[in-house]
Amino acid sequence: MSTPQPPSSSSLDTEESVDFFKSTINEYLDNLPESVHQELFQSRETCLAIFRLLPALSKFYIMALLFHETSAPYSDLNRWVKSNKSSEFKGHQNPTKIYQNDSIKRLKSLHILKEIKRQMVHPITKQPTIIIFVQLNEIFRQSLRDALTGFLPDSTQDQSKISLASVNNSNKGKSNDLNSMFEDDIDNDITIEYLDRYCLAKWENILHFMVGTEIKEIPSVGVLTLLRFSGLMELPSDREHREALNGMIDDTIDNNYEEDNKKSIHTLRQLLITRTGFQFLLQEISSQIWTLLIQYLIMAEKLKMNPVDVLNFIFLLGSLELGQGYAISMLSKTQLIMLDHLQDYGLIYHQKNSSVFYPTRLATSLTSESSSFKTASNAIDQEISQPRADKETNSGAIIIETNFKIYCYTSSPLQIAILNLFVHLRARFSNMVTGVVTRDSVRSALRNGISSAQIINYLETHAHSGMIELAEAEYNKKYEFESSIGNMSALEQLKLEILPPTVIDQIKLWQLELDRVQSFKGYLYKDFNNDFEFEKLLSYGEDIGIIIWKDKVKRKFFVSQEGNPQLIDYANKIIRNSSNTPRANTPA
Amino acid sequence: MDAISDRAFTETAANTAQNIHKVIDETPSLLTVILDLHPLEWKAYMEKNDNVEFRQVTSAMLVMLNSHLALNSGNKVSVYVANSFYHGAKRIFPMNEEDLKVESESDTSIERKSDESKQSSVDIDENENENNDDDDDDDDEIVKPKRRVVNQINTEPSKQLLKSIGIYGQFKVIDEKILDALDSLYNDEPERLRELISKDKNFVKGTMTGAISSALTAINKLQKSEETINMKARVMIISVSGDNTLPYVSMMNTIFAAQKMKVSLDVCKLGETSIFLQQTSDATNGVYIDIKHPSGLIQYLSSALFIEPLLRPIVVLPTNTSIDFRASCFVTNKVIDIGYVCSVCLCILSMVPTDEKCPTCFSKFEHKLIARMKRKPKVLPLEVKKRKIAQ
Repeated sequence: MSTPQPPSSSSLDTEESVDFFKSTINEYLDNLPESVHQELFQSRETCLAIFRLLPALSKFYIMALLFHETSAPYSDLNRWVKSNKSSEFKGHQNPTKIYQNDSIKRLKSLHILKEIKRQMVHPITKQPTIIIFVQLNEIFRQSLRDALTGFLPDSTQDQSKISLASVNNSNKGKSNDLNSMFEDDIDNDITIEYLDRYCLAKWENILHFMVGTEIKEIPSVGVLTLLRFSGLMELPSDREHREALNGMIDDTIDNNYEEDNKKSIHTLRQLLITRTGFQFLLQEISSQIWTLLIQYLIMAEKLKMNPVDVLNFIFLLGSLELGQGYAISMLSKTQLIMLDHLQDYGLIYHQKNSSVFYPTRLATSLTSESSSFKTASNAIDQEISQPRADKETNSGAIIIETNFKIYCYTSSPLQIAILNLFVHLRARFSNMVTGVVTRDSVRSALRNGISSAQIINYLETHAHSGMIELAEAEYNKKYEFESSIGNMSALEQLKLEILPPTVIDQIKLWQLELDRVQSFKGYLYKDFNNDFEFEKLLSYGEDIGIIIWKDKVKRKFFVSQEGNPQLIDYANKIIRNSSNTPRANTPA
Repeated sequence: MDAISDRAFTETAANTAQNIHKVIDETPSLLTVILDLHPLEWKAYMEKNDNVEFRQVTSAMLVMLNSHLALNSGNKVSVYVANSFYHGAKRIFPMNEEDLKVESESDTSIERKSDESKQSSVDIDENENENNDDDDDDDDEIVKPKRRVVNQINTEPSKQLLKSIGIYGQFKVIDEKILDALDSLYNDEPERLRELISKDKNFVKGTMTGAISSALTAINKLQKSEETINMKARVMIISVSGDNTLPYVSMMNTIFAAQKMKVSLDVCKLGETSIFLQQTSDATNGVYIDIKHPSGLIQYLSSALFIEPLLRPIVVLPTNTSIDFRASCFVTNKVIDIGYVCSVCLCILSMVPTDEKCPTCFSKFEHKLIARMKRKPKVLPLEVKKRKIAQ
């Protein structure tokens, strides 16, 4: 059996969703080794940030166990959750159960929840049985408890001074001069507005560079290197290299990193945007930052930076207060290096030779949930539009009608450039552009590697507030109606339809037009000796739902890759029973 | 062609279950805590359970508020007090704007009082005990220094625990504000409080319903406003008062209001079981818990009483099934099994009022009917006998 061919990538890897950033940071955290987790949990900010990133049910479990002194039986975790035995889910799995399993799995992979097996004697039958108990990670529990109760073991400081817990384990010795963190009087002129303008200018500059607009000041070498490293952009030579390899994605970019470092700014400014780069542009600003930060983390490891220090600093930034200055003396060496890098991304404002740094809005909203971030990103959008759009308070909002016409209140060249990727723009006014979503415009976007889901996502997240209000009103009306007649299954299918459904469906159909051919990995079964064998294997395969295609006349069928071992097992059983059964299976 | 159209449309249907959970994970919510400060009830409760301190309750409450904020950066908290000695029901966090103004104006007076106001709110138990002790000497001059000594010993560690530094920025600011507000409540009119706790008074009207209804008003306002539209909310009541301090009619009305708004009212009950509050939580899909071990209050608050509104469909609510649904008499405030009902306004009575008027709607009852109702049943054996004879 030879290895099946890799599937054509276009149809499969387009499933990026809104919570792209969440899944990436979670994935990164999950895959860290236990020792790193243990070190991470010593910082309270990190504990809080990780806590926030968990599913709601995991949070509930943690809270229930947090002040529980002893371990709790594992079965309790199940008992707290309703077991939905209704027949509605027949044939499908119970979504609540899946959710619960996910929640527990996340806790385990982060090593927050520990299982302990204990031998107990059953009170009635007197039989020794093994009962699984669960317990929170001791370090995590202590840190989170301390964070919530505000308990500090060795605090003798003046209470009137507001100081944040920015002490990491690595610099415990310095904890006593935390008060010196507040040196507001030095840079009193640094206001929140100034910081907002500053970080937006930095961030937009990066995005503009990616779109390829003419800009005065190109981002620093560090930023460009990261963009290349993360595969969002590539050098013309990379592209040739890649095309030579016939589209196969390989790891050579990683290996080239050392060499990259030496590349001069002149070489790097020729960077070109890649497919992933396009997808990156369409994401929300918070996802963009996280995507870059994750790449930064991976790169930092290659640079032999301590991942614990790096992560702690990132999470610490999320818990700092906007507009407040913090002394750099409390930072570790690694974090001082990061300070320069993060400044390039606009997460931090730091004047050269100054002993104080300021987190910007991009940094302080790092650990916010995406839904609450919307307000922050709206604020940012406003900031973008304000200087140019004559104080228009619109947040660059898009209106799309059922006849595929698009109106976008914006004057930001960046947003127009992005819209231009999938909209046929018709006219531009001082504060608005109009256009039409056409088959051709969408197809050209699809060819650039932008998926229909991404287009829809972009339109949804940037929809005009009027559209959202309308959709919410509609949703509430339907919800009231369905709940009044008690139609639970319909209730679960209800969702907020911000965009007209016709437009969504049409965009999806246009994508499907492009991939008419769907590929599946699997095995073809043919050349059966007799009908009996064929029927037996086929009916078994259909029972377990692994048959993708069949032809009864020619006695052939095609089995999915996952299902193949099962079918082979079954076939072997038959072979054992009846002596000789020639069977050929050829890979597709 | 089937396969093509299928994928576009089934994709969304399959995701709905996941979407629901994503919504649960990401929707911010509001937690409103209503703290019962009924002075007489607290006094009575403290006398019964001598190991309980008001301080423990406030610190547990603050930890709960912190945890709620930790769940989601969009989460909000608000705190109301239902006190019966000053201002009735009041929101202490977030502060009303007018209050803030007043405070900034009277900054100087606060400065003046600063040493007095150092006395932490958590010292109410000391206050009360002390006030009970020195029932005879009303001399302020003696009481004050004495109390100050107590404070210096007791509040320092407690302040450390509650107001310590090193707390996550947002938590600290909020906790301090709440503690300061509680502080000022006791400092504003200490005489009145003392007077209330003195021996001769034995009944003060509770203001719990006022606090609940103003909390519901604030939630309604929040859910209608632009930024926080459709924000989920729940209310947690920490109560010590018995049913006799709760006005029945307004209590029922607040329950119905909460039911309509789909806001759950959770009840954390210290002391005796309250029938009304049980009904409250039952009607609003809330949790009612009698706290039997007040020292473990934090565990109750962080598990059983810590169920987010959106998690409620998934999590089993830890509520007992047997709930007393009896109503109480509008006149005597006592819970009754069988009683009278006014035919006009449906007001419930345990006895017929002497003036034969409904105490709520003042409609006059018919004298004849009342007389017939009050008449003792008579046994009429004679007719039966007669019939037998006739046959």
